Amino acid sequence: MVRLFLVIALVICHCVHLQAQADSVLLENITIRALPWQEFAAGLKVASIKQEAGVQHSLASVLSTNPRAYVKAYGAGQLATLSIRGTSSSQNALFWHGVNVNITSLGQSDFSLTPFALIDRADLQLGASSSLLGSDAIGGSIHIANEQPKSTEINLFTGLGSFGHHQVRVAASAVAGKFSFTSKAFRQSAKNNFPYTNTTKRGHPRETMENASFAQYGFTQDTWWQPTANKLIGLHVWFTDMDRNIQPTLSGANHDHQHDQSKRIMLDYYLENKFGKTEFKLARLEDRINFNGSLSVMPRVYGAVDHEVGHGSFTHKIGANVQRFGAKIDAYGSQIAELRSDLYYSVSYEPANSWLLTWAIRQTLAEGFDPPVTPSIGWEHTIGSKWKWSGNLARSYRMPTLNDRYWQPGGNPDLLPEHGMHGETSMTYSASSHFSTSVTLYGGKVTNWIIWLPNGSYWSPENIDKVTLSGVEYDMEWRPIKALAVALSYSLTKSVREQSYNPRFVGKQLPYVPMHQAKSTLSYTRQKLKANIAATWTGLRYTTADNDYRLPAFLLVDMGLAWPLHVRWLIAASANNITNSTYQLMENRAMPGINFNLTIQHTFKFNK
Amino acid sequence: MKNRFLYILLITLMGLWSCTSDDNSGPKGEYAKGIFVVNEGNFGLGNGSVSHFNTDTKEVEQDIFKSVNEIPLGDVVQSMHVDGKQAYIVVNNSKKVEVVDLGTFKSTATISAGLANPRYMATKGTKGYISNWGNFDASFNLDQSFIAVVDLTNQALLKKINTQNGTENVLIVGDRLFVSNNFTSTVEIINLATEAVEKSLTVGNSPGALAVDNAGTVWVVCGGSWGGNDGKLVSINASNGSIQKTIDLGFNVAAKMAINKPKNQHYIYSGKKVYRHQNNTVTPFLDITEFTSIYGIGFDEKNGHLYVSDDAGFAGNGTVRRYSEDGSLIDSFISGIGPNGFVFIVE
Repeated sequence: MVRLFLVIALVICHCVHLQAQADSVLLENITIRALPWQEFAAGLKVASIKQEAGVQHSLASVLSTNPRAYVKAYGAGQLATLSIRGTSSSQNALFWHGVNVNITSLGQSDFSLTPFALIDRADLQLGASSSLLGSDAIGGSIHIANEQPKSTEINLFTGLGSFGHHQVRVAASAVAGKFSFTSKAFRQSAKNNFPYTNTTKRGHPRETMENASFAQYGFTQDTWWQPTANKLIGLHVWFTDMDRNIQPTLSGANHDHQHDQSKRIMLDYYLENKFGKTEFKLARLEDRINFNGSLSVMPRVYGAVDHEVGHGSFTHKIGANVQRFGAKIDAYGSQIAELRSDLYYSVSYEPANSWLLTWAIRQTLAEGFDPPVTPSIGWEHTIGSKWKWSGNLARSYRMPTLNDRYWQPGGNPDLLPEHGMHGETSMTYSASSHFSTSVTLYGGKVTNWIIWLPNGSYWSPENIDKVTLSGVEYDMEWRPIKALAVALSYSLTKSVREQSYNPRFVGKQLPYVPMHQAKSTLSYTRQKLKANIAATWTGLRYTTADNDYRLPAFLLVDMGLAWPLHVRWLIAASANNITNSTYQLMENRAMPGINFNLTIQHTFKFNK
Repeated sequence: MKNRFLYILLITLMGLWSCTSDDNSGPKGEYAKGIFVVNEGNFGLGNGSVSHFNTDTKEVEQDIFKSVNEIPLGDVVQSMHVDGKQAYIVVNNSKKVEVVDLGTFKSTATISAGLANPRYMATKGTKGYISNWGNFDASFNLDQSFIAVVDLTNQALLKKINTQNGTENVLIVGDRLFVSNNFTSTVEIINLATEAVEKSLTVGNSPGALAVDNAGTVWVVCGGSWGGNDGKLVSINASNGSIQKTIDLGFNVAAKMAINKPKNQHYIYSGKKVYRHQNNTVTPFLDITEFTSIYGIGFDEKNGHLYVSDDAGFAGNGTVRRYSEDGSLIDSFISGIGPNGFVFIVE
C-alpha cells in the first residue's frame, strides 16, 4: 500500500512538472461519450447511478436501494447479482468502457466486486438492448467508465464503518498538454461480524456473524493521449482483488472462502475526419475465481471497430467485434477456446426538431449457434416544451454460458440462445427544474429460458420455460424550495411463467422478483451542509417457482450528512438501516441491522 | 363462532376417543399414524421439512416439525428412522439428528456430538448407529467416513467406527449392522457386540439402499459408476455375509429402493422410470413422463401402495404420486421441497 502511494505520488509530481512545461499545445478536448450507443437508443431509459457524497460503496450496495433493480445478495459484502425488470441474473450485463465484462463461465456479474471508488461514472440502462449491446442485455445493462479529467488534483479518502469496515482511497488526476490521466487506488476490509437474530434456532438467539470478513483492493489507471486535434488514444487498466470468507446461511456453518480477481486492459483509438468518426478497441480481460482452493480462469481477448458517419439528419454507425473466450475450469475437462463475433448497424434520424427515430440491428456469429437477428426501433417525440413521449420495440437474446455448455457432468452443447420480444413506452413531463415526472409501461416475452434440471444422477440445463414480463415504472422529482429536493419512485414488476417444465409453476411470479418496490428520498442543503434521508421499500419476494415460500416485505431507511469543512475537506457520516429492520435479500442469508459510516476526504488542487 | 365451538368439541372428542381406544404402548397423537415424507430442501437454505399424509382423509400437513416446534427443521433433511415412539430425523448439513416424539412430533432431544455429514440411522436397544460421510476439506476431499455409535438415553457419542468412503444406508439384521459405502463398491458388516467391522464385501459401484427379503437375505441396490450403465442388485446371505446373487441391470439407477409387503419384490428407479425386480427378473413398471425427476420411492405395506416422488427440479414443492401394485395411478399430493423418502408407520 505504501509503495503504491509512493508510485502514485511520483507519477503525479512528474505530471505536474510536465504541466508546468506544457504551454502552447492546448488542444480542444475530444470527448468520447461514455455511452456512445445511446444516440441510437431512443426510448430506452438510462439513469446515472449515484452514491451519496463521502461514502464508497460497491455497485451492489448502491443498487440495493434502487427500485429499478433487485439485488440478490448472499449476505453483506457477498456475491450479489441483479434482476432488472423481472429478468434473471444472467439477463443483464456489466459493461466496462463499452465491453461486456460478465464472467463468461457464469454469464453474469458479481456486482459486489465493483467498487465505486475506482470509477467516475456508472449508468443503469433499463430494457432490452441486445440490438446495441449484444448478448445478455435482456433486462438491461450497467455501464461503468472513467472519464478524461479536467483538472490536476489528488483526492485522499478514508472511512470507518461499523463491523470493522475500513476504507482508504487515493485518486489522482492530471492534465498535461496532450496527456491526461486518472489513477485510483482503493483498499477496504471488514470483519463483517454483525449481530443478527437467528430465526432458525430455538429461542431465536442473537448471534454474531462469523466467516463473512472480506478484504478488497484494486486500482484503475486511465491515460489519454491526444497527439493531434482529431485523434485520441486511450489506455485503460483495471485490477480488483477480493478475498473473502463466504457468509454462511442461518442454518449452516460452512467455512468457505473465495478469492476473485479481475484484470482488464484496453487500448482505444479514436479518429475523427471528413469521413466520420472511427473507433478501434482492443482489450484483454481475465477473471479468476478461486473457491476453496479450486481455481477457474476465464481469459478473453476482445477487438472492435466501428465507424459513424453523419448524413443530413441521419447518423449511421456500423461496427463489428470479435472475441476469443478461453476457460480453464476443472469441471470442463479440457481447456476451452472459442471465437464469437458481432456485426451491427444503427441509424438515428431526426426528421424534425421534435422527433428522433432510431433503428438498430445486430447479428452474433458463433460456431454451432444460430442466434437470432436482433433489431430494435426507438422513438422520442417532444410535445410542446414540457412533454416527451418515447418508446422502443426490440428483440433480445442471450447466448448460453460456458458452464451451461461445458460443465461436466451435465453441460448441454445443444442449448439454444434465449430470446425475447419487448416493447416499452414512456411519457415524461418536466416543468422547469422544479418538477418532473415520468411513467413507463413495458411488456415482453422471453422464450427458450434456460433452466438446470436434475437428469438422473446429475443436473443439466434445458431451454424449457417461457416468461412474460410486464411492468410500470413511475418517477417524480420535486424541488418545492431551492434547498429541498424530494424524489419518489415506484416499480411494479410482473414476471410470470407462461410455460414451464412443471405445470404448477405456470402463472406464477418468478422467484426473487419483488412485484412492488418503492423509494422516496428527501435531500436538504443549507449553506454547505447536505443532509438526506432515503426510505426504500421492497415488497414480498417468492423464493420458489411455485410461490409457496416467500420472504416478507421490508423497509430500509438510510440517512446521510455531508459537511464540507473547507474547499479541501469533506466530512460525511451516514446511518444505514436506522429502523434496524431484519431482512433478507436471499433466503436464509442474514443482513446487518443499523450501521454507521464516517469518512473524511481531502483534495489537493494543483491547477489554480 | 358456533362452528368454531363445534369444531373444537369435535377435536376434543376425537382426542378422547383416540386416547381411550388406543391404550397400548404405540405412539399417540396427531402423527401417530399415516405417512411421513422426508423433504430434503435446498442445500444451504435450511428449508428441509417433514410432511405428514393422512391416508384416511388424504390431508397433507407440510413442515410439521416447524409447526410443532416453531423452529425450522434444518438444512438438508436426509432421512427419518422410527423406533417405537421415537422418530430420529437426520439433518445432513445441520450435522444433527432431531429426536421427536412420533405422536406429537415434539422435539425431545438433539444428537449432534461427533456428527459429520450424517446420512441414515438405525437403532437397537439404547444405542443409535448413525452413518456419516465425514467432512470434506476445501478441495472436496473426504476425511473419514464412520458410523457414530450414540447412547440414546443421553445423546452422547460412544464410539466412532471407521468405514469406507461415503457410508450411506444402515440396516440391522440380528446382531449385525450392514452399511453401504456409496463412494466405493463395498458393503461392510459390523458386529454389534464388538462394534468393529468384521467383513467388507465388494458388491457393485455406488451401493445405497438396503432391505431384507422374505428369506432373510439382505439386498443392496448399487447405482453404478459414472456413465458405466452398471447398476446392480446384489443379495447377501445375512448369516455368513457372503454374496449370493448379483443382478446386472445394464443401466444406472438411483441408490434407493422400496420393497413390497411380502418382501419378494423390489422397486428401483432411474430418471423418470420405475422398475420392479422379482425372482431375478427386472421389468419396467412405470414411466412417469410428467415428472421432472424421481427423487424418492417407498412402499405402504398397510394399503399395498407404491409412493413415488418428483423433485420438481428443487425449484418448488415436490409431488408424490401413489400407485397400486398393478401400476395404476391412485392419486397425488404436494410435499415439501425435494421429497427424497417416505416413512410408513406400521400400526
